[in-house]
Amino acid sequence: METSLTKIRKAVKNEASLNRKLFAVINIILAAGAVFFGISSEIDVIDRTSKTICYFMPNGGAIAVFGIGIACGLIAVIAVFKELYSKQNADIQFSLPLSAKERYISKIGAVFRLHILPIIFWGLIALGILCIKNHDNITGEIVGQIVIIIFIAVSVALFVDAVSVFCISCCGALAESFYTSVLAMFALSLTPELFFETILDKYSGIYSQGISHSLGTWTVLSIQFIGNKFSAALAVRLIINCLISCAVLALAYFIYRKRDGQTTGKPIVFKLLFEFLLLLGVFCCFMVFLFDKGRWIFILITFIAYLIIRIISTRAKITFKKLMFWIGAFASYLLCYTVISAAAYYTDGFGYYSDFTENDIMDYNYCYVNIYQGGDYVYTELGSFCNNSASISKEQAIELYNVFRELKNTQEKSLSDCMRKIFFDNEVDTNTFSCAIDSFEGKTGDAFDEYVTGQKHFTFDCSANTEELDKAMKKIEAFDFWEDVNDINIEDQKPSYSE
Amino acid sequence: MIEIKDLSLNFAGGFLDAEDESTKVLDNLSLEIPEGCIFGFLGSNGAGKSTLMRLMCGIYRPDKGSVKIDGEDVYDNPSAKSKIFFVNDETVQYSALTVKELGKYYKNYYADFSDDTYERLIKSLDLPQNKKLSAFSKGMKRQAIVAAALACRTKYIMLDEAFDGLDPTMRKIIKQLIVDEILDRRATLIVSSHNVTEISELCDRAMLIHKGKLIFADDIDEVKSGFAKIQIALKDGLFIREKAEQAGIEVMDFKSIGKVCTIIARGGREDILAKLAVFSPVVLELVPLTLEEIFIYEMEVRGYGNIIDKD
Repeated sequence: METSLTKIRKAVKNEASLNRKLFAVINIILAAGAVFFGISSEIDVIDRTSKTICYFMPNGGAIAVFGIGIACGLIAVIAVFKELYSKQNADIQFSLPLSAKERYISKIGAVFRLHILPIIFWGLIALGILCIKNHDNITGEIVGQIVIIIFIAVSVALFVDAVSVFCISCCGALAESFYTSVLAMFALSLTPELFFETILDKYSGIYSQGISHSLGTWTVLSIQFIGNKFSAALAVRLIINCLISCAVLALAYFIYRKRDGQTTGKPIVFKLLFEFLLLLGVFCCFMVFLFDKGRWIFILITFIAYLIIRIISTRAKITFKKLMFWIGAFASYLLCYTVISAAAYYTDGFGYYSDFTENDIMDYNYCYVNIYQGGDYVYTELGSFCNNSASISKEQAIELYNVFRELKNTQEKSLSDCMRKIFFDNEVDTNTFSCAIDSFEGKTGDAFDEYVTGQKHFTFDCSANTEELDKAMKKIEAFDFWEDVNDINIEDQKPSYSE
Repeated sequence: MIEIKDLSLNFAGGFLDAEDESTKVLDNLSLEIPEGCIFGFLGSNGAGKSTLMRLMCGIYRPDKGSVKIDGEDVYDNPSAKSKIFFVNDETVQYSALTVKELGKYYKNYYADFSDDTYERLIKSLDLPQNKKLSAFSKGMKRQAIVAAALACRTKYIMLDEAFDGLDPTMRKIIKQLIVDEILDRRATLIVSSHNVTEISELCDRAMLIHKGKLIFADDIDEVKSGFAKIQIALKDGLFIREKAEQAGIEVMDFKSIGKVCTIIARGGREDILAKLAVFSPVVLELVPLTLEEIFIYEMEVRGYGNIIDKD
């Protein structure tokens, strides 16, 4: 009697041999990417008096080619899990002497062999080519950077594979397996970021640019880390990303084991997931199109796309009742968006504003601040408290930040203002006050020098009535630290507010 | 032995899906398939033959009841599934493989796979070893798959309409190939086909299902002995259907040409003859009855295929 492990090993071999052509295609793409990466990426050497600094600049085109190879994960999953959408293959696969668990693990093994292993292999080849080509300039730091890039590629590939496996386990037709996976990848990648940037930031008035939200990084957006130096924190983060993908694969198993040949051929097997994905997809579109300006035409396009997906996924006759249900569901998504946005408006970004303290901004030793007043779509710079070689102290930045807080506290909330902000908030009026604070860690007050190790950027936005805004600007003008900012001509830098 | 007990299946369209209408495909079906026989599955289109086969191979999960192979439940049970091989009516899924690779593919799943048997069968069928199956004709593909099925040396082999679409010579070759191998090792062959004559020739046992319900399942000779086809003519006047029914005969079909009537009835032949002899007919004789006729009349009794008659 063969052990489970032997059976799985043999099944992996079988699946891989059935998909040899795909394996060849993936390897050709990745090989091209690896060679391109190794040859075209550059290492710039800058001679300073104190030391020589090498900067690694990965080639964007090569990363794009690698990206195509990573996207092939969806095709690999579709090719391996044929029994879930093809009746003919279901007859073979489900009748083979394997349990659901053995079959699932063997298929995951096959995906790993077809997709993940080539990514690791060609990533290392790329590193090798780069080292040979730049053997004089290669440093441990650069090798670390490339290792991070390989790690990112693996974590994104795992994300693609995990989401595809999950979606294909919930679908019983090829078309649905494909488009739900694509929809899920986009929706999962964009939703957390969009939620922070278009809802939380917008209604709290605190634009925390530069903060990488943990939820958003378990997605294809992990690519934002390309170019980062190797650090234990980043490595841990990428390991967590990979573990989340593994958890999704484990979750998908519980759906897969419920599948039998009966469900093969049925477009959507697990309807709740489909509804959730549609909600997430449409919600993303609302967040993008209603953020800055009520771009209603795009909402209409979203609605049409939503209806097309509904029609494609419904193989049966479309009845009037069904159509009404779809329209109703879309309306409920919009209502859901409105309710969430309104809640964010009344709670100042779900409490993000009230929980935010000065310590969240100024935990670095230098700050510089820019103050703007809005109007006619463009912010006018009223004053800048730094130049390339100067900054203000933490305490001074906190004083400015407190002016903003006081101003924001004068804001009055109303339903009409809430609706305007949700659906028609497209203009920056003259009553919009904006304060941008950058804090950074460095040896000097120069935010752009080579010794800067950490940086945070926040923009605080609020609209106030003219009277309150006037008061706030007077307070800013009265600060005595204007004179402290190096040798800059104070009169030039001093904010000149006029109504 | 394969034991099917109170088996029911509804096509509900998957779990967590209440929208689609459910269709009852099998309804409380019980059946036993003994070892070492050739068992034929008969039924109208959509009767549930293929569904039953898929349940027997563990492709579908039963809603109610059980399918046991040698005492073990078959669904999600590798041990039970290793005793059965299913050949469906499609061949496209193997297109990417060569004959040699097809053998290797199954060898990796079935521990008892015999290279010798596979090579011998492929050689006797004269199939090119290194050519992809996509380049084969349907008949050649079927031969290769049947060879692989036989080489797996499972205790039970199921062929779902496996001979359909093949020319008569090819059907004969494949059938002979299967029967020779099966008989050698006392394996069980389960065949479904629309060709009742073929089932009658090949199988020693058969069953008939209609709309998911079992009509009969028995030894073919026993099945035939449960029906009688009789020609009867009276000296004076016509013999009518009502007379036979009044005599306690379960008439399935009644036709008359001139004075001679042909009756197809259910029941023991001697019993029916005795009941008809009461009418002192001038002609009373048994006519050979084929399985195909039994199939057609059983179906007609259940309202299947009466469209032409109604018109």
